[in-house]
Amino acid sequence: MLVLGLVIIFGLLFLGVPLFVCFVTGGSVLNTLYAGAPLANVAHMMFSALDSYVLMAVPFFILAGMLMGKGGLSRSLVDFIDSLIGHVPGGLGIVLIVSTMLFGAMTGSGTAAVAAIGIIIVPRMLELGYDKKFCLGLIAASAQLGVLIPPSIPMILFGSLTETPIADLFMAGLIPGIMIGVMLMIASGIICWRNKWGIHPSASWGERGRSFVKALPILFMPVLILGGIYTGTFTPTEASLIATLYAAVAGLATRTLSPKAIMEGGKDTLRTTGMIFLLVCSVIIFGRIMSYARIPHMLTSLVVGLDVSLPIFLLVIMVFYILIGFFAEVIIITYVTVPILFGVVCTVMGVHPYQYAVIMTTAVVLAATTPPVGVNLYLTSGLFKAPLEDVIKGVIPFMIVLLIGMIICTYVPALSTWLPSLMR
Amino acid sequence: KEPVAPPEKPPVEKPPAEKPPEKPAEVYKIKLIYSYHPGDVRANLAEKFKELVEKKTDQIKIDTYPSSQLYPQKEEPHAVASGAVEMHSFASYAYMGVAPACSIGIIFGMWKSMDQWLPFWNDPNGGGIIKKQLNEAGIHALDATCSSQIYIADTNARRPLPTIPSHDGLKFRCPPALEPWGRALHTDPVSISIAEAFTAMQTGMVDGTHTGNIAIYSQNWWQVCPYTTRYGPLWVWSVDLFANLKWWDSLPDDMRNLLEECAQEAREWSDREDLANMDAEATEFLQEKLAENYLLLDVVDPKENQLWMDAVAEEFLKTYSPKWPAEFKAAAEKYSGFKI
Amino acid sequence: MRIITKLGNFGEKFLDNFCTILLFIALLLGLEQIFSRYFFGITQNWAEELFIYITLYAIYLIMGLATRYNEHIKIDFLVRNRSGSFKKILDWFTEWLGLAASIFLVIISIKVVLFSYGMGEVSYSDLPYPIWVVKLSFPIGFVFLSFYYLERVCRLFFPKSEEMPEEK
Ligand code: NA
Ligand code: NA
Repeated sequence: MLVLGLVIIFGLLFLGVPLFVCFVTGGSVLNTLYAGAPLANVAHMMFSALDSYVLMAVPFFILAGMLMGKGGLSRSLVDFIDSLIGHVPGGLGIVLIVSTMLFGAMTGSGTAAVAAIGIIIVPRMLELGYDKKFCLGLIAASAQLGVLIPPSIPMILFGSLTETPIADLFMAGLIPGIMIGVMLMIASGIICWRNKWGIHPSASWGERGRSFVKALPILFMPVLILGGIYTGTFTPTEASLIATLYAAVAGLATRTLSPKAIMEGGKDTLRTTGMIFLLVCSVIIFGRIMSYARIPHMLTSLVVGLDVSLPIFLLVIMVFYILIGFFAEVIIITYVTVPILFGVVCTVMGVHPYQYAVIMTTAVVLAATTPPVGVNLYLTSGLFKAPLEDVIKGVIPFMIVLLIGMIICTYVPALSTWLPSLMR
Repeated sequence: KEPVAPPEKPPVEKPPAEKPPEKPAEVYKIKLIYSYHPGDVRANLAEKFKELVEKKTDQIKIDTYPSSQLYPQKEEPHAVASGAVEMHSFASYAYMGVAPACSIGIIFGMWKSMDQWLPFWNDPNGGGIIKKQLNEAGIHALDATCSSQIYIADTNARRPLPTIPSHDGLKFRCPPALEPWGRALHTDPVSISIAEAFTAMQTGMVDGTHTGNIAIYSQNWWQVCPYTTRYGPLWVWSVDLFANLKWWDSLPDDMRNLLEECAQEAREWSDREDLANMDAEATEFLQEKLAENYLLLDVVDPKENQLWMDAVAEEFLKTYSPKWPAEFKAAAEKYSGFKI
Repeated sequence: MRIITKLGNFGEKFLDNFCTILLFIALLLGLEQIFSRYFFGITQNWAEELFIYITLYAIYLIMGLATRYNEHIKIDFLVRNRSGSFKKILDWFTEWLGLAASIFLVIISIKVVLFSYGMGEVSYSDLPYPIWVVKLSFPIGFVFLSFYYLERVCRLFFPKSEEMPEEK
C-alpha cells in the first residue's frame, strides 16, 4: 500500500500534474488505506501545517522584496554600486552580483532579484557589449544566492520543521552566501577580462556621493534586518513585518512607490505565497506518512548498521541533494527530505543542524539553475525573451562555481557554525 | 479494519489433523503520540506504558511517535478526538480548549497532597466533570492519576529573583497556557517556542523563563541564564493518558482494564522513580556546574515563598475558574480547602 | 461558458482586493503588536493569534487563482513539448483530476470545521474565539479552487471560447 501511494504521487508528478494535486491524491490514499486514519485527517494535517507564527515570515519577506523591486529603489542600488566598481574590467558582472546579494538581504526568496535587479542591469551590460548568454546565466545563478543570505525562506521552512532557531539559521547562511558570491565574482571577472567586455569610464567621487545618498534608504534595509535579528532585537517574523513597513515608507517617502503599487505588491505576494503554502501543506501529508511508516527510524538503523565514515556520508547526502535538485525546487527539497533525513544526518552522524541547513540551502541554490526543473532558468528566459538553451549555456560556468561552493560548505562546517556561535 | 470472515460451514468429515490451528485472538494496534522528545519525563512515561502493556499481553501492540512528529502539539487533542490516532500522552491542560475543567491541573499550589487530590478526582462533581467534558469532546481520560511534588524555578540572566517585586518589568518566556504565572509576578510573558528560547535569552530578547529546573538543565538554559531561583514545593496533578472515546468503547473489558492498570503503574513509576531521579540529577548537575558561578537555589525567604505561591495561584484561578461549572468549583473548594 | 468566465473575473477581482486588504490589516496588527511590546511592554497573545489567522485567511482564499492561470508549481519537462492526442488526453486527465481533488478537499475540510465546531474547541488566548471560524478559511479557499478548476474543465469543452484569461 505504501508503494502504491508513492507510485501515485511520483507517477502523477512526472505527468506534469500540479504538485499539490499529486500529494493530495497520493497522500489521501496513504492516509486512509495505509495509515488507517479517517479521510478528514488529510485536511486536518494540511491546516495544522501552516498554523505557525514563524511561517508568517514567508509572505512578509516576499512582500518586502516586492515593494523594493517595484519602486525605483533597486535602481538606485544598482546605480550606486555601478558608480563604485563599474569601471573595472568586467565590472558590471561584479555590480550585478553585489546588487543581487544586497537585494537578497532584503527578501527571502531567490527569484525576486532576477526581475528586480536583472531588468535594470542586463540592458546596461548588453549596451557595453557583454555577451547575452553570459548575462542571462549570471543573473539566473547569482539571484538565487538570496536564499543563503538572510532572510531566507528555505531556512524558515527548515527551522519550522526541525525546531531549530531561525535567527541562528539565518546567520549560518551568511558566510557561505558571501563566499559563493565572491567565487562568482572571481569567475565572472575572469570571463569578462579574457573577453575584454564592457569597460566604461570611472565615475567621479561627486557622482558616487550623489548615488550613495540616493541609495541610502535601500542600503539601510539590510542593516536593519540583519542587525535586528543578530542583536536579538526582533524575531525573524517581526523582522519581516518591519522590513515591509520600511520598504513601504522608504518607497513612499522617496516617491518611487505609489499606494497603488503597494496594493499591487500585496496582490502579487499573496498569489506567490498562495502557491507556496498550498504546496507546503500538501507535501506535509507525505512527511507525516513517512513518520508514520517509520521511514526515518528505519533509515537511522540502516545508517547505524552500515557504519559509514562522516566524509563518505556527507558525499552521499550531497550527491542525493544535487540529484533531487535537478527535478525539484525549494519546497520539495525541504519538506520531503528534511523530515526523513534530519534524524540520520544530525543525530546519528552528528552533523550540526546549522551545517545541514546550509548544505540543503546550497542545494536549493543549485537546483534553481539546473535543468530540467530550474525556476530561475525559466524566469530569465521569459523575462528577457531568450531561448532557454541560451540561458542554460550561459549558466553552466556559474553552475560549476555553485557546485564547488556547495562542496566547500559541505566539508567545512565552520563556515556555517562559526557566525551563529558568535551570538552566544 | 479487516472485515470479519463469514462463519465457515461446519466441516463434515474432516480428519482432526487438518483442523486449522486456533485462530489467534485479535491484535489491537495503538498509535500513541506525545509531544516530548525522547528522554523527557513524560516521554519516559509513555514508553514505560508501552513496555508494561506489551509485557503483559500479546494482544496489544503500541507504536509510539515522540516529538509531535505526526501532529503539531496544539493539534494533538484534535487528532485523538477524531480517531486519527488512538492515544495521546500529555499534561491534561492540553485539553483546556475542549474541556475547561482540565485547567484545574495547572493551578499551582492548589493541591497539597495526594490525600486531597484523590477524593476529588473520584468525586462525580470533581474528576467526574472533567471526564464528562472530555467525553463530550470524544475523548476518554485514563484513570491513572498521581500528584507529584515538583520544584518550579525561574531562571534569569541578570540577578537572583527572591521576591515578587524583583521580577517587575522583566520579559519572561512563558507558554500561552501558563501566562497567568507571568502576570502574577508582573513579568511580561512572551510566548516563544522552546526551540527559540535559548537564543532569545542569549540575545536578551527575554530575560529568562518561567519553567522547572529539569528544562533548565536539559535545554542548557543555565548556560545563558545562570541565576536560578527556586520557589515551591508545589504539587501539580496530572492525568497523562488520553484515548479516542469511540475506539476505547469498542475495546473488550479485559483490554480496557489492562490498559488502565498499566497506565496507573507507569504513572506511579514516573512519579516515584523517574521524575525524582531527574529532578535530583538536574539539581546536582546545576549545583556542580555552576557552583563557582552564580547559581542560586533555595534562596527564597519562606514568607516570600508563600506570597509568591499565593499570588500565582490567585492569578491562575482568576484566569481559569470562571469557565468551571458551579458544582465543580464547590467540589474543588471542598477537597483542596482553597478559596475560589 | 460566458457566465462562468464572468463569475471567474468577478471572483478574481473580489479575491485580489479582499485578500490584499486582509494582508495589510494583518501587517498593521503585527506591527502594532511589535510596537506595543517594545515601547509599552504590553504583550497581547490574542493579537499574535489574530495576526496569524488573518494572514492565513488571505492566503487560503487566494490559493485558487493560481489555477486560473495554470501557475501551480509542477514538474512538466517530460510533457511540456508534447502535442497531439497525447497532450489532449493528458490535459483532460489533469484538469479533471484537479477538479476532483479540489472538491474532495472542500468536503474533507468542511468535515474538519464541523468536527471542530462539535468539539467546541476554543483558542488558548485571552480572547477565546472558536477555532472553527479560523478553520473555515480552508473550505472557503478550496471552494474557490474548485471553481477555477471547474472553469478550466469548461474551457476544455469550449477551446475557442473568447474572453478567457490568457495563460501566463
Ligand atoms: Na535573502
Ligand atoms: Na533544478
